[in-house]
Amino acid sequence: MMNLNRRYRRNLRHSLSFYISATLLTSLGVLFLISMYSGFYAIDTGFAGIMKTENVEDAQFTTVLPIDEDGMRDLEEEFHVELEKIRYVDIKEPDFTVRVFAEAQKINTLAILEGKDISSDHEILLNRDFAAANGYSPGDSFSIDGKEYLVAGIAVRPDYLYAQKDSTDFYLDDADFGQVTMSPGAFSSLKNTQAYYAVVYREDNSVAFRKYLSDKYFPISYLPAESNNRIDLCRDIGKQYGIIVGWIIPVIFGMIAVIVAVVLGRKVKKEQKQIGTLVAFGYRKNEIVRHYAIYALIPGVIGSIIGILISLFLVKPLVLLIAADFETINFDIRLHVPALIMALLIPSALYLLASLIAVRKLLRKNAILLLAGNAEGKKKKSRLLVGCKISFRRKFLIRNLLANKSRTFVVIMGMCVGGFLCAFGFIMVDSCNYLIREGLDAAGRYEYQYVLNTIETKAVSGGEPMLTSLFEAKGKDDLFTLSGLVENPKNLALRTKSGEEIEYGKYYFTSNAAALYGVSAGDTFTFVNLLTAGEYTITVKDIIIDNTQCALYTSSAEAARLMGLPAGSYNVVLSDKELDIDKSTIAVERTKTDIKEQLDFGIELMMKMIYIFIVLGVVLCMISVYLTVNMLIEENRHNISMLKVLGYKTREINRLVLSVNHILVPISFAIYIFAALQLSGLMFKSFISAFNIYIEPDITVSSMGICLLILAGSYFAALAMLRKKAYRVDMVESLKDNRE
Amino acid sequence: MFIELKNAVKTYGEDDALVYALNGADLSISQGEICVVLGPSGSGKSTMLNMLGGLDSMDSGELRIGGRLITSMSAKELTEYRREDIGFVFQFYNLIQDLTVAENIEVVSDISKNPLKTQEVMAALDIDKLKNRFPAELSGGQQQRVAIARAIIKNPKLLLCDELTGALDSKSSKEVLKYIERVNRTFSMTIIIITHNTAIKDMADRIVMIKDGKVESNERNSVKIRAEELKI
Repeated sequence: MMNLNRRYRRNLRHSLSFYISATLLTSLGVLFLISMYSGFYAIDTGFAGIMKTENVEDAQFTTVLPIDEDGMRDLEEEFHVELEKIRYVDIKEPDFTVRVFAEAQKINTLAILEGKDISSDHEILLNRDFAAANGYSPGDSFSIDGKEYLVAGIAVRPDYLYAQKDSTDFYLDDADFGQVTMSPGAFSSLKNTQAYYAVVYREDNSVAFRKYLSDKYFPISYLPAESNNRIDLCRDIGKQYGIIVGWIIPVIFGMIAVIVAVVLGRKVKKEQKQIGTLVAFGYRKNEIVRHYAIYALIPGVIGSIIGILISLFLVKPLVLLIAADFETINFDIRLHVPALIMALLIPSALYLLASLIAVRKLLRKNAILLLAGNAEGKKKKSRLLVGCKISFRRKFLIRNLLANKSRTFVVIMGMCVGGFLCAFGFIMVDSCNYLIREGLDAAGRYEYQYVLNTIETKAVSGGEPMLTSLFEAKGKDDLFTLSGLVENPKNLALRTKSGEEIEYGKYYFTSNAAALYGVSAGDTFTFVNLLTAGEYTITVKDIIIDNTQCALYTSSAEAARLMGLPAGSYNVVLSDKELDIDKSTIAVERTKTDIKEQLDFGIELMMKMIYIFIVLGVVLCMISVYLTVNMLIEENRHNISMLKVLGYKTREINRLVLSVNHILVPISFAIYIFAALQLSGLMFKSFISAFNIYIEPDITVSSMGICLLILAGSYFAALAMLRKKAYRVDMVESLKDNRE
Repeated sequence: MFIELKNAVKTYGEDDALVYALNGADLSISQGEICVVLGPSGSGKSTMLNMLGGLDSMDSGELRIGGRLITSMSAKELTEYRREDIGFVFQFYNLIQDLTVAENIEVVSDISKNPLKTQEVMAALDIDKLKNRFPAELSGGQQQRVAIARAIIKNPKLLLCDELTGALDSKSSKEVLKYIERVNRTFSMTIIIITHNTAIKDMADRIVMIKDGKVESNERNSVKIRAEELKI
């Protein structure tokens, strides 16, 4: 065996391009698997860990009647909840605004990232991104409202992991807005402070709790954590990341492993003469099997190790890139153990299996056939195109593709693996852009939206009133907006699925909400008022085509009835022009551009990963196409050599032998676009429950063009690189080779 | 002379491992002759065939075929030379498995300037009834006849046959040689057959013996017999 083992080095040298591309492909697959899973795990556990250890609120609310200490204690005992009054004040300094909080004791406590906790009234804590953007560190002095404080430490609030100043902010400017925490004693010296109550439920009794609140304290607002972007976006990024990772990574990793395994299996099959020789020499089957097992393990083991080593350096930057819009916490960066085990085992096991199957299959053959290189015997040929009057080149091309099904399959897979990833990225972008366009259409014809901070009843001049409030589906955490409209609203463009006119006073769900709750026209639906916890059952008349908003539309009178308000009440005004409304009554003023920016921003969060996918897709495409075309040349050496002897020019040989796969480019393109659309569709369905949004998979013609260009570019680049190899095939090979 | 090889030297390896495949070989063959080249293994037969076919270059020496100096040709010119002037028949046929008999012949006719008529060549080799069969569906002798048809379809000046009966039984061998004889007669083609089988020399116009990279003898065969009379 000693002498035989010398073949490894020689074989490696001889098939260097195969081993390099197979190893690279494996390491890329492993890198993708480990870094994505580890990154996802770090982000998910990082944010979730802080939310758990620092006891993030389940909801926050304000009431007309204040709840005193005794009242809070009674509520805690009665409903087994934790309650805390969160006190804060916004202070404008020349260069920034800080939201100063009194240190909480039970809910939304702080995770200290650097330095120490506050121990006196002249110490404060700063959030990390604000401190970093403005150059503050523990030990520095910080001025608030003209008074100097010592920065004791850097900390993060679990309810400000996505640190919006206002809930409608689209852009976060770390340098412009920060959170400061000080002792309750120091806080009491500040003026114009505000407060809200934070609650953590220990039991599933939020409805009963809200009913009680409604009866006794008259709530003004109630914001569950699921609707609070500062909290929920962190959960969303974990969910979003988790869904994409869960759907895409196994597919890509599996495809890569299968491609290399098939190419390896075919390579071993070409060793039949050597195997026959070893059999003739008296080598035992297990010795031969062992010998070829090493060939399989070379790209498997080396590729896995390289992939793992690179991911050690890549996970942290990846996590920071994906979580860049969120507060920087001390992520626990470690390699995800199940992914690590998969990365170590799957490629090697698959390659080993492919190699062993090929060797064992050959070992079952007669040694004489093996020695003659004729182990496969005389296969019955398909009579396809025999006698057909088309050129032999076309016949050669078609038969070559059909006669070598596993080779054709693996070449298609090779083209699909990278292309699929690119297409998936483009589908994500295009589908989201489509959603924005559709969302803006569904938003209607208005240009201005005024959300009032009070319920109004007096007539609106120049605008269209609307009454909206958040409601909760019974038995589900998902919230929806109930909107009460005027009859024949001019500013909204509501289209029903059935194409029928809207019947005023009936209930219409948007398609997004219908998909989320699984309701259709004619179904009954029960929901709960968030503030009063009152329960209502309605019949859904039809579905409005709108995948962007989770809403239930009815008449303003019906909405007012459900909210317990007088008929004609409204809290939103829509208008196609700017209105002269008392600014003190406006909570939020939004234009259509604002809405578009908001939707764009939501997509931007996803884009970083999409760009990673596209770049990785291009690289994967190049390597996998190189590997498979390399195999094509290896398997056609005999024909190439013979054609050279017959006087074929290099260009003609390339056209005849290497162009065989050209036809597979459009075929692969069609397959992976279709597969990516299908998989995206399935993935987007799971977005409904995760993000309350339904996205229809879409890809534009220009994106398809780019995908095709990427594939064709990778393919022809790989061909160009491999042309030299075809050029180097020795003519004498066909004179010596006796394989038929 | 149609073929003139003078003082051909071809070496492989270097220093202590230097091997002379051809060591000052001279050869001259007239047009239209069937020449059988004999010699033990390693004597330089195949190397000489590679030189004649423009597959390999020599270290020194000169080769003229039909008056053209082959040894001074560039790689591109050699390709043209093989494309137009040389026909090859291999020991193991080297047919393209995914193409039928007719299509295998088309592989060469397609790139030739003045190919012979496919039907005429197939008829000459009695393979016209096999034209829609794939190589795997033919016997060894039939495959070799297809290989000959493919080699001569371009109407080459020189047909080189490397151990063309090496993979065949005696009956098939005789049959293939009969067709080689017919090709020589019908198309007036110069044919060089390299073989270990000394019995084949009896059908040659010229017999060349090679040993240790040198041409030991190059004589006209005065007692030529027909291929079907060979005692193979």
